Amino acid sequence: MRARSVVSHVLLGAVTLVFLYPLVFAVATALKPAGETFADPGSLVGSEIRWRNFADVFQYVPFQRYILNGVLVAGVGTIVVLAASALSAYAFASLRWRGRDGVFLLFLATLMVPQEVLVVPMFILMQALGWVDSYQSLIFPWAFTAFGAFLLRQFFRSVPREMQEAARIDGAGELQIFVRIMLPLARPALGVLAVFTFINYWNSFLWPLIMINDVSARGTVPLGLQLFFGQNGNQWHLVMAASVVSILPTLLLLIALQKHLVKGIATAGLAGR
Amino acid sequence: MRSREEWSALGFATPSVLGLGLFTLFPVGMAVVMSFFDWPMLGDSQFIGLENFRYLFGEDPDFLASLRNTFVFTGLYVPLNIIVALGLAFWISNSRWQNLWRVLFFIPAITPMVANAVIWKLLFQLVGTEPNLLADGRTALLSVVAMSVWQGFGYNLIVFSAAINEMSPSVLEAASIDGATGPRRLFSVQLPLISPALFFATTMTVINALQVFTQPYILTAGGPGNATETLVMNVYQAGFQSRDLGLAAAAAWVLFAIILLVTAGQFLGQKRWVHYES
Amino acid sequence: MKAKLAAGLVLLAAATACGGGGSGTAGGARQDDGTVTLDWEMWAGSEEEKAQLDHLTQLVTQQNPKIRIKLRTAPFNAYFTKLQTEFAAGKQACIVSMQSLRLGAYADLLEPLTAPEGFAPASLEALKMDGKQLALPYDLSPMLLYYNKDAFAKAGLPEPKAGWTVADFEKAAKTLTTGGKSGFGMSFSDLHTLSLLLSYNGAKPVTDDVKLQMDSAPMVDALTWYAGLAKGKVGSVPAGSAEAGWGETQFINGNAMMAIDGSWNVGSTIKEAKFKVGLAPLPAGTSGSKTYVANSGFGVAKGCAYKDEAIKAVSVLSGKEAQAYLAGVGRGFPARTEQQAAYEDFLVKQNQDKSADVQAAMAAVKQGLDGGVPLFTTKNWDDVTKTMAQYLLQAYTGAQSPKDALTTIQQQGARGQ
Repeated sequence: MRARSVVSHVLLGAVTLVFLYPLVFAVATALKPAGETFADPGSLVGSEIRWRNFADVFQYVPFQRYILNGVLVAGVGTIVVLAASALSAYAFASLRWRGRDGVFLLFLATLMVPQEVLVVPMFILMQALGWVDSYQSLIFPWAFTAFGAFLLRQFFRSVPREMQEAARIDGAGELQIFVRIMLPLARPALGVLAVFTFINYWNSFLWPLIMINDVSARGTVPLGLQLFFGQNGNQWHLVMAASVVSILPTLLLLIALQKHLVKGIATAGLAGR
Repeated sequence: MRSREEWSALGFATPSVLGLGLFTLFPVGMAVVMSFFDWPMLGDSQFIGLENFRYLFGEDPDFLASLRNTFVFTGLYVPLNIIVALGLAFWISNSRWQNLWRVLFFIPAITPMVANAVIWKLLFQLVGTEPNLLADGRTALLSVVAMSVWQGFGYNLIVFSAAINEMSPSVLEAASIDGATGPRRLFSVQLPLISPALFFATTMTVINALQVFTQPYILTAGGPGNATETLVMNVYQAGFQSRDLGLAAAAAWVLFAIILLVTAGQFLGQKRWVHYES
Repeated sequence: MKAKLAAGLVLLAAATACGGGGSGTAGGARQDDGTVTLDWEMWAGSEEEKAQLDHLTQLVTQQNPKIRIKLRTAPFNAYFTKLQTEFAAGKQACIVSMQSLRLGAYADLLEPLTAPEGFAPASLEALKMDGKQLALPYDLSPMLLYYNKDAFAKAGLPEPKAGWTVADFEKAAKTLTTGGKSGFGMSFSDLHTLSLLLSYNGAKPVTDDVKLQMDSAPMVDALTWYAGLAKGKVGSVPAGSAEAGWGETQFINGNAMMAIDGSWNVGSTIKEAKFKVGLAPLPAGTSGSKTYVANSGFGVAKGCAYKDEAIKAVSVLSGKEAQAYLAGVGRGFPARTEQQAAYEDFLVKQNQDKSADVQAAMAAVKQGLDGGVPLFTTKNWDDVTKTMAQYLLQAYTGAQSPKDALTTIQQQGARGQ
């Protein structure tokens, strides 16, 4: 039994290594000097290890700007999503009002609409609002998804109604109950929603590709990566270095919050029952 | 006369309802309208009835190919993704370092797709077959599938792995007393136990697969020929390169209709194989 | 509760306000002190390129203290897609950078200008449409044959020079194909591919009255020859339809010994290549060496509220001082004849040990300009280049005959030209 487990783990390790090879390869190529990308593709190490390539990325394009833009858009977006989702989830879960179930069903129905169906009319809408090529065009159109409301509603519903009733009898308003009782209880769910929202904003590509015209000022990280395919031929060592840089923030987030993330996906995945 | 609670509810729900109305319901309606118009990016639009749809299905040189490619992609990507995720989930379920494996396999799923695709593009170049796997119409779409499975299965792995951990020990024990082992145990006991997670994962993965864009956009730009054109690429191309927004809206509606049909089919079919614990 | 709602509304309102662009109209704004700030849209990849452009904006303000320029940039391969969404959204800049190949789609969107003295006639010609000067040029670039001098020497081959024929080119390409390296880096990009087809037999993708003729007999003949280079890896075939810039990338990485590229890359290629770079006019086919000349310039968008200021700014951006500066930093071969020498000086200075290469290169550029014609294109050229990427590749890999590939491109491109 024990030997079997060791063999299983060794094999699993091997599979993981193969699986991670593209990322290892990216780091290795990022550290090779220019012009050696194609020289000896089998070897992961070039004639020298050039950490400078990473500095060059930031010199070649304003990558720090893209990171900052990404953080701004994803950060504000996450706050708006959390606020809107939590408020409406409370209305759906803890308050009685006419038409509640109908509105909630409509909410759920919008989950079925893919982003791609919306991009064309959304472009017209952004045009009408004068939002083309702006930060708010990256933030608001996707900030009111029903997913967050759905997730948090499930959570709020699990809170015993007696707790809220008791607070009401003590004279607390709904806002107080929401802020003092419900939000603290929902912290794990809010955290999971926050991380996933942030990552979605951070990685989004199609919409910024359509919306952002002044890439050097308002580009996000995925758009910035495209800059390396310029008129002067592909600078592959820099492309790889930039890719590694763009992967790092989400990777760090994953390492720091892995337990919550895994739990969050598991909950969402098991919510089907 | 509304109660105090009703007024509060109105306040709580308003931001979301307004936002969803403006940024989802309104565009959805707008998309319907636009699909019946000749709506150039610059200049006046004009009602043309079903002409956009007729063009898509009758004349558009790429639309039917992109429909076919999207289906082929989905047909390959979804089973591969589920099988790899499920297999690894069972494999790591006995490991002491289960969480480590989960996190490692999850890395590409949350890193920017553009970065992942760019890395694979260089890998394909260095493999250096003649012609390149991405330049050969017979292998280009398969290569896109391979890259997509690599980047995407980590999410389902976590869903499955959580479901496996929650399998009720008493049921498993009863099964082993009945002598259910190996494949029989897998198919008649374990898979039914995790079928809700399986259903959830399949549904989501199909929806995502039908919307594939970034991978072919970066890896193959739709080529060679139209071997890797997908529906969303068709929408992007029609709307933002050929500047024909009406046509793009029509193509998007076809995509939406397909997603609705497929998802409805899955929900109807779930009774046959998904077992919810009561 | 109310506070939160109010905060949300304020946030939305604020967002709308800053998106609206304040009191200015599209592409520019006038301040209370009478200063006009004009937006200038330009493509740029690296920070270095952007710094060069920033220098030009300062030149404008130095010469016109009441005019300020705000630069916005996008990468070249996304620039023209973005430009049209800007025009559609009414957010176009007052000053729009334009490449001669893309002029067709913007003919109705740019103000006609009057060209001052001092420009090479070819550079003005390429930015004209229906007799109207739609932009003032800053550079003038023929497509050239780049070759690896070291590889030629090693193989004992005579180096390409004026009068070199297609047969010589083919022979050299075959000889240089050894050890996994290719003699020639192929391409499906418009200028890079079409210029060699033009030189081969005079084949033109577009008629004189700007209609697509991709499937004309000379085009089929020329592409059949070009696609034939892929046999035996003599020509290195692009690794996918997303590989714009394949030939020149393979060349600079030492995987292909020859490639066609624009003269705008002379400086950076000589600097970055790990081998000696030679340049020559394109190999001569049935009617001598020919090439396309592409150039770029600055135009004024119709609808710009500060047209007079914008015209002033464009005249500075394309003026003597600006071109002397751009030539001095090696940005490109200037459109103004007087400033062209400065470009050669720059290259010589940059490459102290390679000055002979540089002088030969400059001779090639000038010869290229002699045989060069502008490539006028259809309105939907973005679509055409996309289908070229997809279907020329099919011809190179042998999946489709060159005739079929060209017929497909013609059929798809004919709609919307």
